[in-house]
Amino acid sequence: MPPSDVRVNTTDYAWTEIDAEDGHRFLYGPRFGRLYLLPAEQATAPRLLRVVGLSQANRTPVLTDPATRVLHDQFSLSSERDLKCAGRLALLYRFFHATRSFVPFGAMASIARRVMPLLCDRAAPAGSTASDIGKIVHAVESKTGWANCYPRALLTAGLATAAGRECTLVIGQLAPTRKMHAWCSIDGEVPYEPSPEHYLYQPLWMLTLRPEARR
Amino acid sequence: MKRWKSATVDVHIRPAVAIRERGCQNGTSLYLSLYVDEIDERAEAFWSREDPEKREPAWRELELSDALIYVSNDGSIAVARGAACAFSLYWRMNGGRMQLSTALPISQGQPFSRVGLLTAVVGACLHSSYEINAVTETPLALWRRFRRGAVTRFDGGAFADEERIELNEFRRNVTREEVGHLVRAAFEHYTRSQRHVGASVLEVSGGFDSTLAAAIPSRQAMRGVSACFPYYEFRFEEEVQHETAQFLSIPREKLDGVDLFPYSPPSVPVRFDEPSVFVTGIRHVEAVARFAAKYSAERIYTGHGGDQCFSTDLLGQETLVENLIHSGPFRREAWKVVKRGIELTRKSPWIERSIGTLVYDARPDVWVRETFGATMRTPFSDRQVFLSALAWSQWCRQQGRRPDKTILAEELNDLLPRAIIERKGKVAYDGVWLRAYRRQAPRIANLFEDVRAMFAYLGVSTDWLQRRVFELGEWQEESDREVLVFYAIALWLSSWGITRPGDVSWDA
Repeated sequence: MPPSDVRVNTTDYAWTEIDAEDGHRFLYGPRFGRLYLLPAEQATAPRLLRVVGLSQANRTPVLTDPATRVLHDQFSLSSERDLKCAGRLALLYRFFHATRSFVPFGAMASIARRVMPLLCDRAAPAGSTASDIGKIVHAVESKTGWANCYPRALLTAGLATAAGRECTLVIGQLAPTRKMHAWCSIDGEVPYEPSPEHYLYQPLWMLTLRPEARR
Repeated sequence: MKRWKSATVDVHIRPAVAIRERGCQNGTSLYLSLYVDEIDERAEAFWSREDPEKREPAWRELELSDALIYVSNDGSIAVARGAACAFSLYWRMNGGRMQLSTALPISQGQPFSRVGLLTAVVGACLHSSYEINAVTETPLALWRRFRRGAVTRFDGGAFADEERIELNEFRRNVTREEVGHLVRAAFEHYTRSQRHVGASVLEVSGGFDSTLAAAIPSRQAMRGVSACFPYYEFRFEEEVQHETAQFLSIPREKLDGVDLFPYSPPSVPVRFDEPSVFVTGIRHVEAVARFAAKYSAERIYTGHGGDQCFSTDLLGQETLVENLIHSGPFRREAWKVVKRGIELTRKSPWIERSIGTLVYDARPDVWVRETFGATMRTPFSDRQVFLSALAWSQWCRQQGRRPDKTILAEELNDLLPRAIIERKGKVAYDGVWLRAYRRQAPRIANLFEDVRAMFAYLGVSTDWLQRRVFELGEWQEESDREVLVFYAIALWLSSWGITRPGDVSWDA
C-alpha cells in the first residue's frame, strides 16, 4: 500500500503504574509528559488521572515491552548513507526535541505521522522494513550530530506510519530512579538505538499507531 | 611487616606484598608485587629487559600492578609505582633517612593533617573509587603517597623529581590485524601467567571481562559466584550467567544481591590506608572473599578494568566524575581547600588515561588477601593487555569511532559463550543504588553522627549530609556525590577509632 493511501488510528494506548516499594507508585502522565510519584490511593483517583491525561479504561496491571531486540546500534551501522530528505528529517528531529517540554508526547506522535508524508514522502516508501527505518534514523542522528531517545522514538514512529507499518511508542522508567526512556517498536523490533538500553526501562505508557486504509 | 634497610632508606613491607631483590653494578633493585606466585617471572622479565648501559632500570617495562624500588650505589633512590599498583606505597624523610612503607602508619601516633583529610575528600569526589593520583598529600602530615604511573626520584636525602611512565607506543597508525594480534597475544600471556593457580573463584557476572579473566589453563578447581537481583532491569542476567558458567564448565552459586546492597556494612573492620569510595561496595567484596575462603581458593578472578581498557578512548582526557561535589556541606575555609584540590586535579597530567592510572582500583585487594587469604586478579591490569587496549583506542581513533568490545568478541570469541557475545548490553545499577539509600539511610546518618565532632573540626556540616541522605532515601532526585564521599571519610575515621579531633595529634 503506498504511503498516500494510509490513515492512522492513534487512540490505542495503555498504561500502568510501578510500585515504588514504599506505598507510593510511579505513573507517567502523557498530558504534561511528566513522571509522578503518588501515594497509592491518589494513583487510583479518576479525577487526578484525567488531569494528567490517563483513563481508567486503558489501565492494565502489567505492560510488557513489545520490543524483544534492537536491529541496529551505532556499531553495526556506518554513518555514511545517501539519505533522501536528510535536511528535512534532521529538522523534524530537532523540532521534536525542541517542543518536548510543551507538546505532549502522544500529541506529537500524532503530528509526526501527519507531517512525515508531507515533509518527505520518499524517506520511507511503502514496504520499508524496520531495518530500513533504523538506517534512516541512524543517518539522521549522524547528520544532527547528537542523539536523544525522545525525538528518535517520534521520528521512528513517523517513518513507520509513513511506510504503512504498525508501531508502538513506549515510555519507560528505570524504577525507582527518575530516569525515563522512549522507544518505538515495529513488529517487536527497535529499528535503531545507538546503545541498546530500552530493555532496562519498565514500560509505563504505550501508544500503538496502526495504519488503516484510506476511505 | 617485613623490613629492608640500606644506608639511606628503610623499607617496610606488609605481609601480603611479596618482594624480590637483585643487586647490579650500579645499585640494588627491589621488585614488589601482590601476586606471590607470579612475582618471580615478573621480576625476571623486568630485569631481563634492563639495558646494562643505562644507569636506571627500564621503568616502562614494569607491570602495572607492581612497584620497583631502586637504590643506587651513590645513595640516590628511585621508586616506580605501576599505574594500577595493587598496594599502597608511601614515603617520608626522617632526619635525612628515607622511610618507605606499603602501609600508612595511622595508629602510630603520627600527626594528622586537616588539609590531607580534605584532600582525601577531593580524591573520593573526583576519582570516584580510584586512589587519588593528582596530589600526593595523605591524611598523615609527614607522609606522601607515591603517584601511580610514575617514577619518583630522591637525591641527597631530598625529593628530586617525578617522571611519568609513558606507555603509549602507538603514535603511528595501526592496522586492525595488528591490534587483533596484540589482543590475542596479551590474553595468551595472561593465561600462561595463571598456570600455577589451583583452586579459584570467579565472579560470574555474565560479561565479557570476568569471563575472559576465567580463561586460565585449569578450571577444574574453579567455582563461580554471582550476585543476583530481583529487579526488572536484571531479568536477563540470570540466564546469561547460567550459560556462562556452563560454557566454562564450573559450578556456580548465587548470592542475594539485596543483602549486598551498596552501603551495607562489612562484618569485619575495613582499615584502608586512606578513605576510599570503594567501601560502599565492601559487603559484596567480603561475601565473595568469604566464598573463596570456604573453598580455600587462592585467586578471585574478576573483570575489573575491562570497560576502562576496551570501551574507553584511552587516548582521550579523563573527564572524571560528572556530578561534582556541592559546596553546601562545607564551611568557607574547608571549601577553599576542596576547591583548590579540584582545580589541581582537573589540570593534572597524572590522570591521563594513556598512562593507565584509571584502569583498576586495587584498594580492597590487600584487605581481602590479609583477611581472607585469596588474591584478587583481573587480566585488565596486565601491562600487555593494557598496551593492546591502547592500540585498540588508536585504531578506533583512526576510524573515527568510539572504542567498544567488538575487538574482544571477534578476537577472543573462542573464549566467550554466545550468550555473552549476543547479550543485550550492560545492566544499569542506578536503581540498586537508589534502593540502597532507601534501606540504608538511617545507618548512614548514624555513621555521620558518630563522627560529627571530626566533621565539625574539618569544617563539614553533619546536618547537611544527614538531610541529603534522607532525601535520597525518599527517592528524591538529588546528587549523592557528597554522601558517597563523606561516607568513605566517616567509615575510614570510625574504622580507625577516630571520632573526635582529640583522638589523634594534628600537624601545627
